[in-house]
Amino acid sequence: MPSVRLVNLTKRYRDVVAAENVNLEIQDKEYVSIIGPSGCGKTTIIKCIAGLIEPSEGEIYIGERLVNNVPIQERGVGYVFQEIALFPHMNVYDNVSYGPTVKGWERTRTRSLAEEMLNLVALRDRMKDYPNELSGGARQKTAISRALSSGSLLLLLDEPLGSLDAKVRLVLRRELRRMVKDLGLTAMHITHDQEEAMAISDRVVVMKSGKITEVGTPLGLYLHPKRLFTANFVGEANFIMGELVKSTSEGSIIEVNSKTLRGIEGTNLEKKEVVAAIRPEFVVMEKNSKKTEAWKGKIEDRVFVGSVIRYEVRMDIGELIAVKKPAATDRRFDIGDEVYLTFPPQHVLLYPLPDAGLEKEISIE
Amino acid sequence: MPTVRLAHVTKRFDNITAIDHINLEIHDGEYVCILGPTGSGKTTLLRLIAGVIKPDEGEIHIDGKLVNDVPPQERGTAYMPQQYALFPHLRVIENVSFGPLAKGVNRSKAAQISMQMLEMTRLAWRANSFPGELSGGMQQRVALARGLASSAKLLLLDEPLGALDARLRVELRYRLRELAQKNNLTTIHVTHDQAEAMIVADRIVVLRNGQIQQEGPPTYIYSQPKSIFVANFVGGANFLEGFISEKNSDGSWVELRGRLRIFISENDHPVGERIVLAIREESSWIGKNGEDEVNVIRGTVNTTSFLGDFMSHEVLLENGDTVNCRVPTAMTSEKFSIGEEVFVQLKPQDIKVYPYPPAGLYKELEAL
Repeated sequence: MPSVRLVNLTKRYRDVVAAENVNLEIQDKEYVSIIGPSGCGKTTIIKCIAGLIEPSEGEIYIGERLVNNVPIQERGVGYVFQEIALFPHMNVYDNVSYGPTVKGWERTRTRSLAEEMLNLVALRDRMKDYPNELSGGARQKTAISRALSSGSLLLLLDEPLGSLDAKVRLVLRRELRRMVKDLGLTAMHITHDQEEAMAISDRVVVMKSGKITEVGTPLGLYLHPKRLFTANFVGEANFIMGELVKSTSEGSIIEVNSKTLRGIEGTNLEKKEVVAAIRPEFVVMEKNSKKTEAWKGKIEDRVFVGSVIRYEVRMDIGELIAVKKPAATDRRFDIGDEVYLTFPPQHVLLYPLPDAGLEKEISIE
Repeated sequence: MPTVRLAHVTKRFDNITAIDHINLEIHDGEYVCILGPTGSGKTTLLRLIAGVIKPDEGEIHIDGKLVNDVPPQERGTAYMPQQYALFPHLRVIENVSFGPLAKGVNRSKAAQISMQMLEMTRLAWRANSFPGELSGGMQQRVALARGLASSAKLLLLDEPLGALDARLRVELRYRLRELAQKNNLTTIHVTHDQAEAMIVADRIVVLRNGQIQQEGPPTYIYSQPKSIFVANFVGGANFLEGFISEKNSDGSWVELRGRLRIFISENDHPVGERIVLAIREESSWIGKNGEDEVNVIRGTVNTTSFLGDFMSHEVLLENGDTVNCRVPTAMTSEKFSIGEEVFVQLKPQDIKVYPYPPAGLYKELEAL
């Protein structure tokens, strides 16, 4: 039963705290991603669980067992790195059957397992090929099936798709999730790509500066992020600063220069400086509007992003607002057009203005 | 006035033809992305223009001048290779101002230009750090700032955002485009990331096996892909195998697997021809009710995943084919659960038709 539990996990490197008081519980058979900017501590955590580095403080449990002093090979984890590490002098089959072979499994059993794992990644017909004869995607698939054939029920993946082409990454992430689910494994997957994390995981852990900022389901983190940092890091958001002038059971009213915004949250923020966040795809854009709460502005930029068109609108009151519309239904706006924007209250998220300022709070450096 | 013209350029490495008779013209002030998978020759193409390697055949012109024999430093280009090298013993600001100083720009002017470039790449606050103190992504931005500060008007960028976190990459690609526009630069930018190419480029050149597959503005490449490869590589699509079973003046009927018939508005392919249909995931409509309209197919939801501004539903159709349907999150009023019976509509005018590839569809898609 490979559940994972971290209790007050801290890792220091001399005077740098790479991970600080991390508490996290992963359920058996759960697929969890850890995301965050470079240097946020996500790799440190995975390495501590794998046993590659020792925590400075805190406890690590795999299942019910405290593993702090258990060596790597006895923790029952499969590990896949970003830098694809295959034995170059061994063919695909030998690479994948390496684990079972060194464990002393008999040949037929090793063979059937290795073949099953190669089947899962559709590489059975490439068994005799050497790593340098494979594409990057096929090499990483080999590395994944090698980790799977180790028999471990806990899979630790550190940027497993990071070195691959964008397109290959899209295909492989689907396969990866399917394999983990089919085999009933528990997976922890580190990535800097928030879309990958959302597509592949049951839950996502957001980290910043060695600490967990927020944990939630992909949908929950996207639609109702509890923190400003999450709102910015997971998907794009517009941030508007203002003052929450009134809050009733109907919702709240935020003043931004001479204009207003409405939200449905914010009962605890009355008379305070707030930041309102809204995703570009939830902003309503119209050529004409009689609504008093509509903001007038002019389109400054229009970029085609495949299935979506992204606009930047300079509001008369100075704010620059991003708006996204599905390309299939939208052909009506051009650069220079005067438009009116409205912000549906149910999609306006409200946060207290951070003491250190908005910029610092959402910084991804 | 930097323009670039390649005429029949070919480059071989031993018995591999990395670049195969390429003709390409790039206009002054244009932002062109060379897009292709690993091994398609895109880096080789950039290196040829930079002058780091020489073509075996063909001519390379910059500003109307034949440069085949002109050394890199005299081509007036700022080339930023994927493996850039910063001077480890110089501070960030010194690295960036190296180019202007070497060209004889005076010290204060060089510092001013360099700070401007560092502001653009959002690194002004680390001007006095040494490269070793910066993250990989920051170092890449220093290299970018250094390239920009050299004041060359032709910018050659090889995966300039490759080492950055996804979130930062998204932010910086908008800046990159703005930066090129503001400084009137002609830019050639190599990438494997189609979303990046669509955002930054005026024109995209899709490369495969050393040959140009298609070129044009992003909207054109996306809406009119000339081949299965381009449709798959740029944007992705659902691909369905079948053959033309009937045609008339309005379009054709296609028989898919399981004898399922659907109608398409194209009628250029002869009856009996084996073909592949392609339809974008966002044009594959999913609904709970099967209205009595054309090409409504019954199916079952296999998986459903959330991608931020989109939800993607994988649907197993009644004929055994699988399609992905993308629905904007802002428009998801209906929720679909795994195992639920649904209806998928593929509108005739949204469906593209391609001849069946000789090596098979699977091979063609896998070729990435």
